[in-house]
Amino acid sequence: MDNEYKKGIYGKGAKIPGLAIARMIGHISYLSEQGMDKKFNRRLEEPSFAAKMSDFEKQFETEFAVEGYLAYQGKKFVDRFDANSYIAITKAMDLFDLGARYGDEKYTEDKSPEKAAEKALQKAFKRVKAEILLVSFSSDWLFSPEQAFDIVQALTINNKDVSYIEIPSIHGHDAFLLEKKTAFENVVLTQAIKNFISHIKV
Amino acid sequence: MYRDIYLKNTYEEIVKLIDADTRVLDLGCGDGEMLFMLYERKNVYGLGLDIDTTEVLKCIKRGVSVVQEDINNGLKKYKDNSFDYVVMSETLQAVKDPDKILKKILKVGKKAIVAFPNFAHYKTRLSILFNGKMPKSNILPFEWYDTPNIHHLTIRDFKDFCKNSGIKILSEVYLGDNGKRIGNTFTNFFAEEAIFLLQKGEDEKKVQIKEISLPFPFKK
Repeated sequence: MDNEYKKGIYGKGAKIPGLAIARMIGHISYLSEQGMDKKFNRRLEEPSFAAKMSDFEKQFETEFAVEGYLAYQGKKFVDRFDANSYIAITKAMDLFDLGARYGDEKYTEDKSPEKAAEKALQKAFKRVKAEILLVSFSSDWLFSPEQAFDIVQALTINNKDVSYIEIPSIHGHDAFLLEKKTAFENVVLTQAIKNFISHIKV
Repeated sequence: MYRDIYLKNTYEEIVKLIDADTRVLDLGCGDGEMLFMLYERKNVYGLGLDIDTTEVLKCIKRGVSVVQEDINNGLKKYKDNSFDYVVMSETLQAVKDPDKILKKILKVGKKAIVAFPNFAHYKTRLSILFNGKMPKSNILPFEWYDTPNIHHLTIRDFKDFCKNSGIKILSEVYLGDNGKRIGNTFTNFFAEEAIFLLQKGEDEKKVQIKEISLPFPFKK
């Protein structure tokens, strides 16, 4: 229970641990099991880091390194993000349905909802005029390769120019944020975008 | 370089088999050269599939539509009759279940085009006979341990398979030494590359209704 929530009207200087917890849970979905295992495993938080923690971070369990990391992510987010805008954005994302908005396919009784959604997506993509490059990371389960593939199918049915590349990575959704320029993910992503842009006929 | 000539000539023959303004799916499309030829000459909607990142990037650079996907996963998301042609050039012998893939592409495509190197070519036969080693040739330059080709086959093997599976061969083209087109006689000996245009047989297309067999006293 987030005592500061008050129907979404957070006062100035509220601690907002609710938002931090939401971010911590959300942050896990940007990573992957394999990636987290490699980074944290069962490692305990180093005392030097623990000593530097703010009071805010200390509200959370920080015995394991992964806990300290998530607490830090929670704090970082609360410091720079307004809780109400976060709620609004989340709701807007949840309510957005490309197929329903642009596909206009009625969900009739004789069709399964999956079939209807598929048809709606196909109809929605009829209006596409651009050439499309889709890229996904193999371990991303926020924007999964399967979903990207559904988009590919809906576009190819409509004779659209679409290319799809799946970059193998253990870093989950956040694979696109890797800082090392020589990381495999970055090399392939950069090359794919370069190649895609270089061929486009203006 | 010989391999390039073979591939080029194979692509030329495949392009000739494809009607203009159609939908083409190319399995194992490599760098997209054949699809690019089809775009320019036949105004097709062409989509390539390949598993290799380097090849996929080359396609993107060429402006060839490509999807990075493992054909060995069975093309499950591809619908029946969603393409006019499904092409497998130098790919059939490299997949895990060639029989299943062949049957699948004949469903996804109204027609299929399959091109493969003939393992019963006289040079291959002589190489095994006199060298006693896995044959290498212009079109098969690989060592036994690093070849992508895990299911070598001959023209006779393929024709037998088609016959037994009810697959109709609509057209056949053979390339002999130097990638030149040769006639349709003694092909299993002289052809280094074979190209087939295929279609699902009539009995496969029809919905089969099983006859009910009545017990002895009631038999007609």
